[in-house]
Amino acid sequence: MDTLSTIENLTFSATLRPEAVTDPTSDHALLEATRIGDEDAFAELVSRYRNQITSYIYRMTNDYDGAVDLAQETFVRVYRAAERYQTTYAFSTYIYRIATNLAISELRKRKRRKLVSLTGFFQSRDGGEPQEFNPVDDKPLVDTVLVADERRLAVQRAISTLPEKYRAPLILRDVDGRSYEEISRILETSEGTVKSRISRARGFLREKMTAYL
Amino acid sequence: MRNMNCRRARREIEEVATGEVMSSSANDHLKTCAECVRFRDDRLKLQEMLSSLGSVEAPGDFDFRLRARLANEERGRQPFVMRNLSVGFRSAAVAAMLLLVGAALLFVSLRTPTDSSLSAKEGKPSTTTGDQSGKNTQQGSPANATVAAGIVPKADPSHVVDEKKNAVAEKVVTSKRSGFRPTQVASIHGDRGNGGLKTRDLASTEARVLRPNAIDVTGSSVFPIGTSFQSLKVSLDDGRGTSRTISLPSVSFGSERVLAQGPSPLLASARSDW
Repeated sequence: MDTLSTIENLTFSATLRPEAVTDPTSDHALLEATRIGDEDAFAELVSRYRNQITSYIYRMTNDYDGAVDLAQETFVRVYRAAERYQTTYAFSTYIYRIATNLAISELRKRKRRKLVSLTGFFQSRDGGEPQEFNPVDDKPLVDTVLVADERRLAVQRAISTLPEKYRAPLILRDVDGRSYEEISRILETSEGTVKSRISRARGFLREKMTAYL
Repeated sequence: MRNMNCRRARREIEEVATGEVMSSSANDHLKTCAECVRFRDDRLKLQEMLSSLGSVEAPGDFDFRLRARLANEERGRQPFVMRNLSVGFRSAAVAAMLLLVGAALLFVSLRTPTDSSLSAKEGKPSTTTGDQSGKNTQQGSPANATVAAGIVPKADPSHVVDEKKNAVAEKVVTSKRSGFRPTQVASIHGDRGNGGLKTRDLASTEARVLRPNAIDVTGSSVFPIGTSFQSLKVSLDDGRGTSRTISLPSVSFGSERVLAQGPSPLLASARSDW
């Protein structure tokens, strides 16, 4: 989580159950087939993970087109590094780690470019993260669908204002529903750090979403 | 004590996943603590909102675009074929390159003594420096004495040209600086032990000697200065008794002018006018 690691540096220490590798429909078996040139196997992997990865990167970046590009880049990297892949961890951990690194890299690029964020006009005075501008509409909304949409939009905007180190674990836990253990593997940090960051992220969100709670 | 319980209870509320049951002690604490109950309710609402975000689907042409991207990647990587070659092939390539370099060095080292031996066969002693130069001058015949590049001995009579017999210089000293002729590098074979340490004197060059019979009178000689040392004089008469004489100096090319002005180019050189 602290630094972006290349795919070549992605090493796994834990061991995986042997049956996970021998199962011909498992992710590992598909990647093994991809390694020897089976494009159908790679297509199957893509079909399994394309929505998850696109969605995850979209939640991280709040930019759908960019998320699709980064999701494709994720699969390109998986394909390119297929020969170097070690089947010692879950494939999902591996691909989520790549996606996380790409998303964080993109967020940092945006920060360097100082893109004007339409959702973060109001920077805090101490130079911290931009404060969310969430004008509360006091008028009653009769349409519940509209209310739900508006709430979702507000949540997404609130997430996009979180610091990146809090954003990734929060999305992986509360949106994707992953375990602390898996998140710690994806982010290459300890479970305690993951729990702490998620707690802090929820605290930030509670402050920003007071009007909706 | 109450704060401690609140902290523990809130930690449990934070860590518990949706649908999981909290511990009995945490539940007991929630029955008595309104703040923690509010914290739990906020947490559940927030969890509900985050879950409601749902999943975003990839576009329909995702696979197609990915295939196109992979194809482009492969095409873009074609120039770097060397990187994808096997280790054996790369090793062979490196070995071949080293062999070529070695052969080139061997060729250069073998070629240098051949040049000096050729000079010896032609009766041209190699130009040397210091004491060696004196020895060679004494041993060789005056006609074959070699003049070091750019230096003309003053007292050597063999270098003096008989102006009455020859209108042109008998000897022409060429140097690398003048650029008239390519020069050859002289070699000196030292006598250190039996090894015959070879050294090369790159500072001096062998002088080319031109003899009168070797000079091409047609003008295709390597020495392009005209044979006449006098300037061209043209007299013009307008028919009324008035005449004018125009003197055209000989063409000069820098230092070669000395050759044209002096009675003898070598003598001129000997006077340090070169």
